[in-house]
Amino acid sequence: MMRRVVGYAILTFFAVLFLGPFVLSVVTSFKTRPDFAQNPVSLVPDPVTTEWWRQALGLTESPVADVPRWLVNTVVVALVVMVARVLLDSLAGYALARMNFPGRRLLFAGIIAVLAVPPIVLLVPRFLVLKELSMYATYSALILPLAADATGIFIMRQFFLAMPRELEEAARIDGAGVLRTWWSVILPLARPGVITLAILSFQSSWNEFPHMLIANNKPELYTLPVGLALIRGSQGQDFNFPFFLATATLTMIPVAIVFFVFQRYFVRGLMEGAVKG
Amino acid sequence: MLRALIAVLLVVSVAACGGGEGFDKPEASSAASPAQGGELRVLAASSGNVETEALQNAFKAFEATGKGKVKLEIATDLTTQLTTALAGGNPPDLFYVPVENVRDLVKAGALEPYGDKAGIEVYPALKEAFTVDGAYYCVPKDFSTLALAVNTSMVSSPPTTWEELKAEVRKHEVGLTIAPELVRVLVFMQQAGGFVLSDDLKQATGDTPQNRQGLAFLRELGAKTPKQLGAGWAGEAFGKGKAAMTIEGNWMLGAMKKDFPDLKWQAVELPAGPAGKGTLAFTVCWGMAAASKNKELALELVKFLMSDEQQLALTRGFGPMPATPRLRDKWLEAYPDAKAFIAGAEYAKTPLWPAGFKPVIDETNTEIDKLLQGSAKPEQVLQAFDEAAKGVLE
Amino acid sequence: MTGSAVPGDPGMAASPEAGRGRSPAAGGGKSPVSGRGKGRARGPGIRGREGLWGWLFMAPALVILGLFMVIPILLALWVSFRSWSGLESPFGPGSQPVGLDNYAELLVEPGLAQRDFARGLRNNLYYVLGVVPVQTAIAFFLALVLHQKVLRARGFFRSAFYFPSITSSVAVALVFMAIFQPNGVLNRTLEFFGLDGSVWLDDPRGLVHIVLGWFGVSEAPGFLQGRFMGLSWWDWLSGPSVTLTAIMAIAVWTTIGTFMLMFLAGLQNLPRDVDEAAVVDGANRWQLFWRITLPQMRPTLFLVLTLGIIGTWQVFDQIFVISDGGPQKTSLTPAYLVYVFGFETRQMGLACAVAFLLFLVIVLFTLLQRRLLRER
Repeated sequence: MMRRVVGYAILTFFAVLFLGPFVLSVVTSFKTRPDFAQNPVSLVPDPVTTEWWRQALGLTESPVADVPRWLVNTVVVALVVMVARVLLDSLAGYALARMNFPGRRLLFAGIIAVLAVPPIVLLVPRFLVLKELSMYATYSALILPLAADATGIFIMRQFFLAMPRELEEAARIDGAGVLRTWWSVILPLARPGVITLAILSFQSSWNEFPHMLIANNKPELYTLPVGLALIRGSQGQDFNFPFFLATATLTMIPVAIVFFVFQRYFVRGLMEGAVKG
Repeated sequence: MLRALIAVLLVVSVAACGGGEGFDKPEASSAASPAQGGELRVLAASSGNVETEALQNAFKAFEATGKGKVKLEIATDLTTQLTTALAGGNPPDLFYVPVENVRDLVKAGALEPYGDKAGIEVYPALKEAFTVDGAYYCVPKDFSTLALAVNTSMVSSPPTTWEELKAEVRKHEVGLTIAPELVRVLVFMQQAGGFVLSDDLKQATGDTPQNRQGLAFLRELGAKTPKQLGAGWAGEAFGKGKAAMTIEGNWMLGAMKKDFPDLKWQAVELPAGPAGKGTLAFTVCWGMAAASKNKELALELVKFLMSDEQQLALTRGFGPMPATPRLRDKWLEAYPDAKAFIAGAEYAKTPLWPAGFKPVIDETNTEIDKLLQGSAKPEQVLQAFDEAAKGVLE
Repeated sequence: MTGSAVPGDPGMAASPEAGRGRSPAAGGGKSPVSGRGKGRARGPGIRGREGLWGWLFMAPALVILGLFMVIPILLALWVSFRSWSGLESPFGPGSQPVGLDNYAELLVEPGLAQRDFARGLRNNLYYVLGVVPVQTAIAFFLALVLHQKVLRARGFFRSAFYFPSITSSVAVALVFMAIFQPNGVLNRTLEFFGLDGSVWLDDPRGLVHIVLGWFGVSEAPGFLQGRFMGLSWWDWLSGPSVTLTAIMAIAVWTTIGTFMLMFLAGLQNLPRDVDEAAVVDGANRWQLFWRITLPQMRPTLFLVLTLGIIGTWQVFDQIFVISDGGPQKTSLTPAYLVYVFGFETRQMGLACAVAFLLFLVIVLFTLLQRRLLRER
């Protein structure tokens, strides 16, 4: 009994610690600036204002920043990256898992090596490559470098390795071609893996900051994290926290929805992977 | 099924590549388009909606002359955005160049020296600021000076000398807030008769008795940094009444009106020190990209923007002063509040830095922050400046 | 930047990948990381022109990875041996080969670059030493609590703890900026309990210096005035500044969730009979943990520590949003320095050299940690 009480006490304490800031963020986004300055801790905005949300959603005459545009950019980037990664990563993952071709071991070692590169090392050189390719500050610059990733290839390879071969064999006996077998037999079988990969890709490209920062300098191509990071605190602009937090909340909502809808996949994908080891 | 897959792959690649191109098209084709001299890309920074709208109106007026089109980009971080645009090989045709960047850009060969061609009369000191090795690179669009902003409901009579300033500061919990930056605290060194670089920009003159005196005085004032007061910049701390006074430039005029319309305040000339008055001037020019394919039209646009009418329109409501001396009185008539700033122009010094000096400024700002927070002495700040500057000047 | 293992940014891509490293791969190794390296699956596979198909399947991903991972790294290596402002063409006269000058400027030549790099190393070292143990300990602790079958609603708590790990690091940084404001939530809460707050995000005082100050030591004693890499020993030993500590707290808060899930997965994977046997032998809870659970959890612990170290050495997002490396450069980190050199002071050569040195540091730390854990 005592153990339970202590257990719940600990869990509740940490739940408040982990969820509190989000609650505060949502509440603050409905506060007026004087109210926030006076009562930053209060959980009841007084008065309630929708000014900041209207600004963030572009419903006011002259908004501080073009947040709706950032939102659209983020959606486009995250969705395209997601589709691209699912396709490219699973193609490559399948080849590495099931096909015998010269150079396979070498390629696999290469993928592992790429996996070990700390992303921050790429900050400057990616910019250089994008500019050499005349891609700098275009949608391609935001999307293409993320269109395939070593992690995803690795995940898919592991999924394909774990899959029974019998079904493929059956399909091949039916005389289906390689690509066709992959598309209509393999990929559907790898569904849990594909969904996990899709969710991870969406989430990571939605939140991606350093790459989006160095791949573009045009405000009309900002994604939410970049816009959010750049609106605060340049000279002449003061810290308008209620507005910032409205935009921050807007940034967090889609991933939160995906998380709560698909958390089975989020969590289970992660757990299964680790458990089977 | 297979067809579906291929279709999806196509969509992805089109979305990835085509999407980008689609958005670039208007600009990419602009240089080549012969119609009406084509389209210019202009990169500017903006203090807010007022400035953005003023720029947009000016460009509309230019387009109405039928000479060409203008596409405006507003930078959130001008220096970085300019660097990336120049390095990225697609610089805008015209862009703001703050005076502290001009020597870096000249060194990199990024600027077209068109100043003399434009034939526009500006204050000689401003012209000199944008002249490097004898070549007049770009036309200053406007300028600002630093003044003392005084909260008139907290301060009854604005101080005019160091002694008065010291006495006034003592009456308040926080008398003065100042950004922990060299290009603010330098005014105290000037008022004591010093400066940190020789006029030819070849010698660091940080650790001198005058400069020490200036910083020692600043320390006596017990000034707080804006961040110590929980504000993003000095104007915010001042506007919220967290400090009775601050030292900022013309942009205060627009910013206070926008963010703190009810605030009772006044800008006065900076108090005079032992060596008299001293303040800094900041200026920004219309830089033209050496790589621009539309230099003729760009020059036309500069001339247009520097016409009396446009200069007055472009300096309306957010602060900076016209760069052309003959507009001085007209402008002052319209903005009596700005008297202190324009008065400062008489004796202001434009801080010029040699190429590659930014790390030195950053390092010095770090030391100045220490000074304001009480963990460094004036001589340490100045020695740090000298040491850092030496590395770049050699 | 890609979704690889970066606990510093809440991307959780790290976890499944890492988890899977020890998973269905039949040839999987003893430790998750070495498991990755073991290729396998030598079977009949698809018949026919497999060579061609294999390369075709790999091609799109290879093009992307080649263009945006491999070439950039080679380019960076090349640039790190040049002096180049980034404004002119890298192949033009504005870009000159300078041999090892950039590396020398960072490591041995007295000057600003060296001092900034030294500051970056110092700050990040404190950051790693502070964040990694704390996040690992709390994550393990929460996993142990959540592993108690007697508790209900574990799913809810698990999600609640994990949620911060998957949200945008930039958004989270802004939320915490509001909390850490001088007049913000934290100070008001402290006030309520009769405690003094601080200007959290603009307080450059090092923690060690503060503590020494309590004992009257407020300036460098003589024997600490010597310098190493342009920074006095007194400055090296400052401890993390108050501001950096605040940022560390945010990092801990963001990453606990992911690591907790990894520990949880590890715990569920433990054979129960060993526990039971130990309990029958009369071991108490504490002994059970130290003698049975912990040793068995070593692979997971190893994984979490490795990912933690790799992530904390790359801290960038929070610094960019919250502090710009300040106050007084006490939150400057090598990763942020890469950005400053590359995009603010236009010293591309230095930027790339810092990036490679950082790479080296990460490799060294990972090896060191691996060694320490093995020897135990």
